[in-house]
Amino acid sequence: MSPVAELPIHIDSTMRSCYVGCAQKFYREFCLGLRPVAQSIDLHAGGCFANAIERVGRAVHGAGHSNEKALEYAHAGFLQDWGDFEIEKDTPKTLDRTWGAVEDYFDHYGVKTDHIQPHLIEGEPSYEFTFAIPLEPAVEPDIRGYDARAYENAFPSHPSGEPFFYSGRFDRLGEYSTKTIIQDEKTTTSIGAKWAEQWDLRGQFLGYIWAGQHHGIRVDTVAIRGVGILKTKYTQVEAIKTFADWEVQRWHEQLRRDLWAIRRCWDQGYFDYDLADACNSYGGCPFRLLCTSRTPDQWLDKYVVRRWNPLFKNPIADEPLLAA
Amino acid sequence: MPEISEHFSHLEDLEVHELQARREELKNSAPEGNFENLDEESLAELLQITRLLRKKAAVGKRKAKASAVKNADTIDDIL
Repeated sequence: MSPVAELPIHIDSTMRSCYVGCAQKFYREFCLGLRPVAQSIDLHAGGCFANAIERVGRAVHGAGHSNEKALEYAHAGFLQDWGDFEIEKDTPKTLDRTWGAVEDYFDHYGVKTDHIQPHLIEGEPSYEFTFAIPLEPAVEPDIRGYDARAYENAFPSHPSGEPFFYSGRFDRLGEYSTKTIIQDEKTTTSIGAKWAEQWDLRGQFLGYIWAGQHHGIRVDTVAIRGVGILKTKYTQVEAIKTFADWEVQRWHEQLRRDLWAIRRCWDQGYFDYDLADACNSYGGCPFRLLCTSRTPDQWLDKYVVRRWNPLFKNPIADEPLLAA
Repeated sequence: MPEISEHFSHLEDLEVHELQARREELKNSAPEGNFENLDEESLAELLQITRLLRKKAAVGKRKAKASAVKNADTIDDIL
C-alpha cells in the first residue's frame, strides 16, 4: 500500500536543507515519511549523547549533585535511551564508545568550570529550547502564482489554510563572556581541519537565532561543539559564531522563497529531481532505489513510514525519548 | 579514562561477557523497567561496568596492534 502524502505544517532546517538539495527527496522523506528500514546510528547516538549532556547539566546545576553522581544518573538514562538499538554497520558509535564520549566531553570542558555556563531561568538551567513560530503574514496563492517576489513579505499558507510554522529545538542557552548564546553539540566520526568553517552560513543556526530573538532573547551567537567519536580516541572542538542582523534577515527571506517553491511543488503535484550531487552525497541518497526504477512503488517494502517531527527530541521516534 | 572505583574493583576480574551479563542483570532489575529508578548502588555499579568495558576494549585493541607488529615480516623474512 502506498504511503499517504502529507505536506508537513512544521518546517525545520533539516527539511528546508533537504528541499534545496533535492525536492524529490524532500517529498519522499517528509511528505511520504519514508525511511530505510535500518535506523540511523548517527541520529540515535547523537540523540542519546545530547540527552546525557543535558542530564548531567541538570543534575549538577539544577539539583546540585556532584559530577560523579550526575554521571551515574545520566548513564542510567543513557542506557534507557539506547535501548536495544541494533547497529547494522561498522561504526565507532557503539553504546560504550558513545557513553565514553560523554565522559570525555566533561573531562575536557568540566561542568562547573566550563567557560560556557548554563543560562538560568528562574534558577533552572535552560535546556531544550523548543519553538514553533507561525510564519506570517500567510496568504493563499492567487493569480500572482508562486513567485515569492509578487507577495512582498508574505509567506504562503499551508494547504490547510493555517500558516506554516518554523519549528525546531536547540540544546540549551549558555552564558559566555557576559553574553547569552545558543549551544549545540554535534557528534561525528571525523573532525577535519576545516570543521569550524562549515558553520559560517549554516541555516540551522541562523534559524535558532531568529527563533531566540522572536522569543525576546537577545542572542546573536552560537557555540557549536564538535565531538569526534573514533574507534580509539575522542576529539573535542568548539566554534563560536556570531551572526549579523542582515544575515538573519537574509535567511528569513530565503526561507520565505523556499516555502513558496515548496507550496508550488505541492499544488502542482511534482517535486523536482536533483539528478546531480545530492544523489551521491552522505554515502548516497537513501531513495536511489526508487529513483533508479521506472516502477518505484514495487520497492516501497524496503522502507518504513516514520514521520519527522521537529518538536520531538528524537524527530523520527513515534514518541519522544524519556526525559530526565 | 576515569579510574575504576575501589568499591567495585572486584569487577575488574570479570571477563567482557561477564560484565555485559551483569549489566543486563542490573537493567532487568530496574523497577518498572526504568533504569533511572535503580538504587544508588546499582546506578554506580552500572557506570563502573560501562567504564570497564571501554577499558577492556581499549586494552584489547592495543594488544591486537602489538601482536600485528610482532608478527609482521622482518627484513630477514623477506630477503
